[in-house]
Amino acid sequence: MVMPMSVDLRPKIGAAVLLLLAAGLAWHGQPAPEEKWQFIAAELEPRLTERQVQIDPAEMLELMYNDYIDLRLIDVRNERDWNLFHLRGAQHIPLDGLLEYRQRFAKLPENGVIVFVSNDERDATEAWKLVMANAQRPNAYILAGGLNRWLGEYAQPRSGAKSVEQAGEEETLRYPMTWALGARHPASLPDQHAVQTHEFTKRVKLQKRVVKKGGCG
Amino acid sequence: MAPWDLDIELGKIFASVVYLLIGFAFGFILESAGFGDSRRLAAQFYFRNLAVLKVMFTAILVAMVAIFWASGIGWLDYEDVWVNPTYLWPGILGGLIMGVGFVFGGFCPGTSLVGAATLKLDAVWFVAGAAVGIHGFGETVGLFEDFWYSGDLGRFTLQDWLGQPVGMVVLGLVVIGVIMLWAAGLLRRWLYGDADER
Amino acid sequence: MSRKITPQRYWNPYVAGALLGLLLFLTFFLTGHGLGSSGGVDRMLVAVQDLIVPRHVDTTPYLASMAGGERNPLDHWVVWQVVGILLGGFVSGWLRGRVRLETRHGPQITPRTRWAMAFLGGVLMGYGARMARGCTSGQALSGGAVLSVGSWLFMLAVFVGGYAVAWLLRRLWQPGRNG
Repeated sequence: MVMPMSVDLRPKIGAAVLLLLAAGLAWHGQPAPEEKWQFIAAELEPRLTERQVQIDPAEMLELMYNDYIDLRLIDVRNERDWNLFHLRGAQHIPLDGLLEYRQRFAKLPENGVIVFVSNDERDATEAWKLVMANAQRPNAYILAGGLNRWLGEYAQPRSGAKSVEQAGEEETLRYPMTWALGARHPASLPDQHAVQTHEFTKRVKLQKRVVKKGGCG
Repeated sequence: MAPWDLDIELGKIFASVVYLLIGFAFGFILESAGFGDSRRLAAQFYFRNLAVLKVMFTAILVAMVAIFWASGIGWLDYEDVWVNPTYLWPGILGGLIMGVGFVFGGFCPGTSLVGAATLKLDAVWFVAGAAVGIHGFGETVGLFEDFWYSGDLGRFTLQDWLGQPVGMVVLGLVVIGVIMLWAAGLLRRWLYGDADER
Repeated sequence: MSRKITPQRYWNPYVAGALLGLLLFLTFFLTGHGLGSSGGVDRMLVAVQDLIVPRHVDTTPYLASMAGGERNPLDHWVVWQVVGILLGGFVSGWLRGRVRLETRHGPQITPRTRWAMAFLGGVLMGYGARMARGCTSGQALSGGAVLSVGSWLFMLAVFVGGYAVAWLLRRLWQPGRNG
């Protein structure tokens, strides 16, 4: 069977196209992890602006005592603030070291809940964005008002002082600390029954998680 | 961003339909390429008919370039894609055994299904044999479990191994692939002259 | 009885390969994983075993991981895919008049021999596919496209194994000295 010229040329053209595409790919490169956020910002930004993922300190307190939830408290502040005060059971991962943990977070069990904590909300929100820029999104939240608000509410359990709803942006620990108590401060894990409770909207929902099954089975 | 978890996105029933359609397209393409015919498949190992090499490598390279382009423009998250974990020793041994089996049997599991679907009796015998082989494995794997889990390098990619950026690895593979197919064509011409591929 | 080989209107392999590549990409895009076939056959077999000898299935770790206790081995995407492959292969063959009860074999051997060899090859293939945790569709095509080192090594091993014994087994496939 004699093959006409045009048919013989097809594989060669195909190979040339593929080579060009591959070369283009090598030049274009792959997105850096930080850049991944821009691809899903449109979808996830509303969750931040509508405050769907910022949880009230009272809800956080509930979570800390909830035995059925696998709570991961991630404190993204610097070392100095961590030593001054941090929540009991929290894990210290400064913001710039968070990237390595992204894969690990995505593999939490179904009852796993991550809460990012910083002095205000700015850094915790950055952490949330970083971790959510992943197709397998973990069940992550942000502590509303940060630790400044937490301390305002729980460091004086009987005063009933209410702090402002909106958090500041400076990310400094505004609550005066005489000693660096770390997690030994009573507000690290306030007594549930000693504090004044108030109304709040529950934000945390457990997500159904299906383990991805690949390969030939 | 892709990929999605189809069971969650579409529900079990629709997800199963999608998988069915994917399988349908797969089988359709394989049969259209003539891979229901064991003679055509086996001819690869004598350099008589290079369809197997051409189809396999073209498929892999095209998919590869598409996947990494999609990843490059943020449409697909490569971190979330299933990369077969590398179990060094059972992978290599299994591959060798399959190579031998390919020449004896004239099929691989996927193509044997296509052959059986078009009533090729040898394909049916092959599938029966495969069932026995699979069953035999299930029964005997307990004896060499340590081996079966040996060489566990986990999710180990070529770019990890070579320490090169993904784009370079893909380009390199495309270049190698093109050269290899061209060289195989030359080899075929040298062995069999300009006769038809049969 | 061997048939005279009539020229088939098969697709150009490069075209078929390109289409397959696009399908593979689409599969990864939609599902996050690739294709598969041997796993589906495996699970169907285990499902039958579970009906006949459930206790044995429960006590063998390899089988139990798929069908132990309440688990349904057929509840996995690869099973649907296998059904699809059978349907797709059939329809393609039917549309082109290639659905024919026949045995494809090399000119030097009889269909009977071919059946025996096909069975033996199947046994090896089945065993090897589970050993390697995949077959050409699952490991070579899918794993290869996403640059898994194990998959590329597997592919290499398959070709090495095949070419190594091809010469020894040439009587199965090649025409003899006289034709």
